[in-house]
Amino acid sequence: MENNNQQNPITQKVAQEIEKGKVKMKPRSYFIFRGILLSAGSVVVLLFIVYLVSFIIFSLRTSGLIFLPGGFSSIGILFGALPWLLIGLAAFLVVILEAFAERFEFIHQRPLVYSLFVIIAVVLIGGFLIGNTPLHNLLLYSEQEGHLPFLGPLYHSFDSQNVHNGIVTQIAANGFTIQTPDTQVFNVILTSPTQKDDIGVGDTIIIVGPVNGNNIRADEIKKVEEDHDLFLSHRHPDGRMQPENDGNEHEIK
Amino acid sequence: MGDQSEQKDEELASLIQSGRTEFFSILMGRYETKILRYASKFLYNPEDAKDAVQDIFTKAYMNIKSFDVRRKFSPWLYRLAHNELINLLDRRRIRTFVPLPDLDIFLPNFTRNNVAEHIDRQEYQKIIDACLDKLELKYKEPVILFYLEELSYKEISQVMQIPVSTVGIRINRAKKLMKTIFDKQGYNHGK
Repeated sequence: MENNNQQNPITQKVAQEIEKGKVKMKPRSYFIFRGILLSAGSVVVLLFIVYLVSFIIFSLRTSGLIFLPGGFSSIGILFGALPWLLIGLAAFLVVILEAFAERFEFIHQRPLVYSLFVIIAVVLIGGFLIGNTPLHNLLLYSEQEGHLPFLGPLYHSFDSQNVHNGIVTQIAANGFTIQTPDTQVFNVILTSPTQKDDIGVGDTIIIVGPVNGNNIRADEIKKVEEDHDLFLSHRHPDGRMQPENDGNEHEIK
Repeated sequence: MGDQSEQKDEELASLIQSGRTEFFSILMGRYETKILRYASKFLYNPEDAKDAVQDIFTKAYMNIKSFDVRRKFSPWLYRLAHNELINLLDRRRIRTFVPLPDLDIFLPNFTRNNVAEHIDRQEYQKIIDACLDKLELKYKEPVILFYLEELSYKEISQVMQIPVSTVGIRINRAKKLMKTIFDKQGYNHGK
């Protein structure tokens, strides 16, 4: 290496290190591989967020929350029953994806709000589209048959603890009986007699309240519009319902 | 080797990438004073600045194949220097690093900051010497790169990985801050 930099001692020092072989140039393939890894990582994170959002939409539809009629009480029910952990995880991954994206020049040269807006739009639109395909329905069915080892726990525990839905099969003095989309039968115990005023046999309803054995204490009841197929998410693509329970109906005590 | 001094940085970089490593010292020789001056604005000890520049040049050699020869070489080298110096400051805890983005990189800026780009560069160079150390790093760095290293807004945006409009915002804010500091110190900046 030339030593024509008498005025540049630092350059000379580095040049000597290079000559001695102490400093080596990284091959171009290293940078190509790193670029591919970054791009692939970004795509994987994006797809996972889309999957999570679609699952959130699926779980809202399956629990019936998405069909709740308007009003402040519905907002309260919805707010309390939203899968906040999954929403938080999706938001965290959006931040990670944005950090990945900022490494691309065409993205970091523009205000962050633009790329964030595009990411959120892609995630919501993608999530909504996939949430309306039979994908989660099939995965839920696989989980119930024990064929979903990795994602199984997600499908096993996605139901909101205190939100239930089903079709009214029998009316009694202090409540009524419902059959849930997975064919379980529960006795709904009313906390106020006016709660069943406009509810009849065959209505689809959403109940908010704790479960005790086969009884649900109805803190809130909402009737779902008839044109919403609440059971769609629980139905196998071939039209069958989910695996049967013991089939026993229970008396309202 | 008669024409090396007239060859562009990018041409030299291309030759180095193809294995002509002897050109590396010529290329770095062109930048040693500039990068040393840039590093001195971050690290006040001259020996620390020299060590940092040596590390920057070493990394430049190691990573030279990541440089796209169709683009300008200087922003690439300053980007490398920026990363190295920021890492050094973080390691020494000179900079209190908060990994949250500043608000000014979030929103678009519709004001035309570039209008002032070539108007008062010389005037500010005088002010900078008196006030630079009193500025926060996020304002100080674009000012150094623009007024001292004479990079454009777009090149500064590449070095700091922030939007071009944010470069303008930060330089404008820095100018206002520096004028205030300059006036408080009792200087007359000729306006």
